[in-house]
Amino acid sequence: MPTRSIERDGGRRPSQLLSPFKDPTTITAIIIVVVPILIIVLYPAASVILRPAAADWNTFFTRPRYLGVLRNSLTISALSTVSATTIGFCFAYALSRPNFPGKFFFRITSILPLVSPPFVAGLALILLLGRRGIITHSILGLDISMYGWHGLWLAQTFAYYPIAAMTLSGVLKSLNPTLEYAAQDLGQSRWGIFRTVVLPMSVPGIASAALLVLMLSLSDFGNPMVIGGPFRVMAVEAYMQVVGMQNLGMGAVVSVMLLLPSLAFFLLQRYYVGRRQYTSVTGKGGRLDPMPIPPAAKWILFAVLTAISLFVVAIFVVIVWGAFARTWGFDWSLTFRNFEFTLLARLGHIWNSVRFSLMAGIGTAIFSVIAAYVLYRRQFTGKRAFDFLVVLPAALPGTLVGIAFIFAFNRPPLLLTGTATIIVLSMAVRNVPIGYRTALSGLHQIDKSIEESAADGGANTFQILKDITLPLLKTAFTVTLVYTFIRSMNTVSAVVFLVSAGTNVATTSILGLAEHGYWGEAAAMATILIAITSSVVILFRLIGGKRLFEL
Amino acid sequence: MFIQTDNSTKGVVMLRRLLGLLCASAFLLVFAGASAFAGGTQEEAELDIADDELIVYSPLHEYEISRILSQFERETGINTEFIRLSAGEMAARIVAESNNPGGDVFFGGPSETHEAIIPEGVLRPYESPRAAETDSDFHHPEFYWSGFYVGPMGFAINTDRWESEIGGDYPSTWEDLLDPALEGEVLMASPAASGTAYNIAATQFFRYDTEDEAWDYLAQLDRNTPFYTTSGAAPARQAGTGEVIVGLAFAHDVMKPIDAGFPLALSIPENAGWEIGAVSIIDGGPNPEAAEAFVDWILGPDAQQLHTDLSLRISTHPDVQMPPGATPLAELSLVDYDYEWAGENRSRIVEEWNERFE
Repeated sequence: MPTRSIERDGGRRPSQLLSPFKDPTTITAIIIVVVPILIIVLYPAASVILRPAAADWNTFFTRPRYLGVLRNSLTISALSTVSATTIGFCFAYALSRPNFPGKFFFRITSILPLVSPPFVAGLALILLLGRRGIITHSILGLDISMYGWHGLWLAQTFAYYPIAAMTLSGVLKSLNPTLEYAAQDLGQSRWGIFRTVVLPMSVPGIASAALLVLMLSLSDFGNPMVIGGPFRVMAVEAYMQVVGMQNLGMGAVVSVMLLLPSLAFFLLQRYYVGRRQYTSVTGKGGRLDPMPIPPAAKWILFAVLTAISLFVVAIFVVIVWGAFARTWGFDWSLTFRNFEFTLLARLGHIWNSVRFSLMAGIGTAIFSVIAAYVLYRRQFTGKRAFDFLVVLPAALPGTLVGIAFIFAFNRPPLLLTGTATIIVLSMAVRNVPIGYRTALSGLHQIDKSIEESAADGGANTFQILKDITLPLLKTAFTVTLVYTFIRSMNTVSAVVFLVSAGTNVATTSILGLAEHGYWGEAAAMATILIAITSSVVILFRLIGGKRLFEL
Repeated sequence: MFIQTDNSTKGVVMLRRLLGLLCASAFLLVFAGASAFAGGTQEEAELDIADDELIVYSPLHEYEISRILSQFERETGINTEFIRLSAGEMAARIVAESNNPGGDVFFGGPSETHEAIIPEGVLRPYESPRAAETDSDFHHPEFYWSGFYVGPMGFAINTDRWESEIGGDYPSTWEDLLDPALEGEVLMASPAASGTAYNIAATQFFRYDTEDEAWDYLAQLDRNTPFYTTSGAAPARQAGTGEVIVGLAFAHDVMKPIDAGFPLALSIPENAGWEIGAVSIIDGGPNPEAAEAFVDWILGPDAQQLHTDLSLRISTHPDVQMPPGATPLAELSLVDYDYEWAGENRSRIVEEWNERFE
């Protein structure tokens, strides 16, 4: 059989363990990864975490309300993780098969929610599904409130399924089809093949995607703020303590308590996935076409994905229409008025958003690729701790990152407040975990023996670099760059604390407009952001990034 | 397959070194680039050390801020820049930045939010020569903040839903909100998150003789409240779209969606609470003289007239004309709102409120 899977024990064989002190490259590489993490993740986090007094901790554990909020956070994250990962898997699976209809459309809708700007999507959701919602009230004649855990569940599911789809697409595309054909030859039914080959082979990918979604939904602030209603979660509680009560100590306590479950899940995932890693691209033998989906399953999947996609499209239609409407949600006749203010007064903010996000994208992509390469391909003491540190920022709520950055970087020698650097760093730091995961899953797919055998076969270092390693990292690099760009264009929770007069960005404008009820103008600004981010994605796809987002 | 030759090991090690070097230089390049970017901004800032610049931190609406500041620029020649955040976010930011303040003035937002950060030592008292023109109730006794507008609390009523589902006169007293027909239809923000909502809660303590009665009223109101929002202005907007029938917010936050065309009516109840909108100077800000010039300017009648025309808020200055449709303060039945008591008891009230209703 030309293919096999190798059960790994986390990387190297013992003979290749190197002491970092004997290998200058390793030391250099570790320094490149570790020093920035210590400075931009651990130092700010510590400066906030060490603030609360003992009394604050006491308050948290003696008031039943706080533990209730913690329970809410855990419950909603668990629900959202299951639903978002399932939908993400459906998208990734359908798009990895040759005979799935409407791939072009589904490719777009599988990542579309990523480009939705903050707050406006929440407003659109209420407009569609609220008590006077277009779908719920006008069409179905219902009178239900979206505010609460169910609305939040829906919002988070839609917000995070693209991340699961992105993480899983690489895994599902690289499953070697010969395994499935072999199972078929051995008499397995189509369902049996899915159950015994596809699913088990995807387990590490699913676990990785689920962990990311879990961390993001635990620290999610925007969705619960807009649609959570009476259902209070930890990220909002932390914000309330800092912003509503001016109680920074309590805000820090809540943030730390939010960090702990993320940490626990992270360790769990490490333990679980660390023991079962499958490599199916070994470089040995050619590839068959992926096995088609059987008709019944295909059409069920098609119906489900169509329903989800149409809903996502509806949200965007509402946002864009709202941008041109006279009064959001009330008078839908068309006007250009909303764009006048936006374009005249806020063009500088939009330009700042674009350049900061681009810088953050490039920085994050380079850093993530190096971090993944170093931590995956090398063995050194403390490797697990470093791996943890790289993923840690995903668990930090944005509000905490913002406040922590002010504390850490508002005094010499690191006097960065008011500069563009601090904004770019805050954008980058929150996306490194995802970039790192993307690069890592790319590296996981290719067995190191390919590099070694290329060397055996006489390829020189440059050829290996050019033909194997760089192409492999190029995809991860581009995906991370574009993904970070999109997310940074739409981020708000950390930057509100960091923008200065000269470095204001578009999302803080949207926040201000939405807060004062200027929804039309907020939608206009959002529409401009959507146009920019979509153009960037299309541009990257046109220039050589063929594999980019090709789920 | 896994036979190691000297050649391959050497190759792989070389490859790693090369890659490491490559990535390191790229990384340094990017961060050098980022610092250069930032460096540019810093240099620009340092060029302007003379007080011909003013950094304004404000929770008012962007449109109002930019119109007011461009008028200030025209009259004084001082260049301005501003950051807009909600009042609570602004206060948190000013406290967090206190090592190295980034702003000069904290312009707008309820006086209670300004009051709350005085103990942090981040505000500088300043008695403007114009302070005497307004009533002494409208500024801090030691001039840590000066008020430039006053806003009464109001009910935003969705007229379409009120007429089809409730009928009759619009609610005009606090007791009217307790009507069982309004169950799940009265929306307000959480006092823990919003100054507006704390004002509503505190008002009840001034309306009743004992705290128990006030808590009793809030408990009854809680029965008609579907949940509590995080933004003080949100309830008015949600009443506008018909999510609820009545939203509680400051009158100027109700006027905005009415202006935008939503089917809303504003009702100011008997014993309404009210806020003072304040301006204060951030201690240690980069342009202390410009900050004083701004406070002097905004407390004057012309600047206040401009603000009132833009925002529909009621000015504290006696010479300023009322916004159209607004009732003069003297004609409203306002509660005897004790700001000192409200400030001192805030955390106690909010804690207990959280325990009871969240």
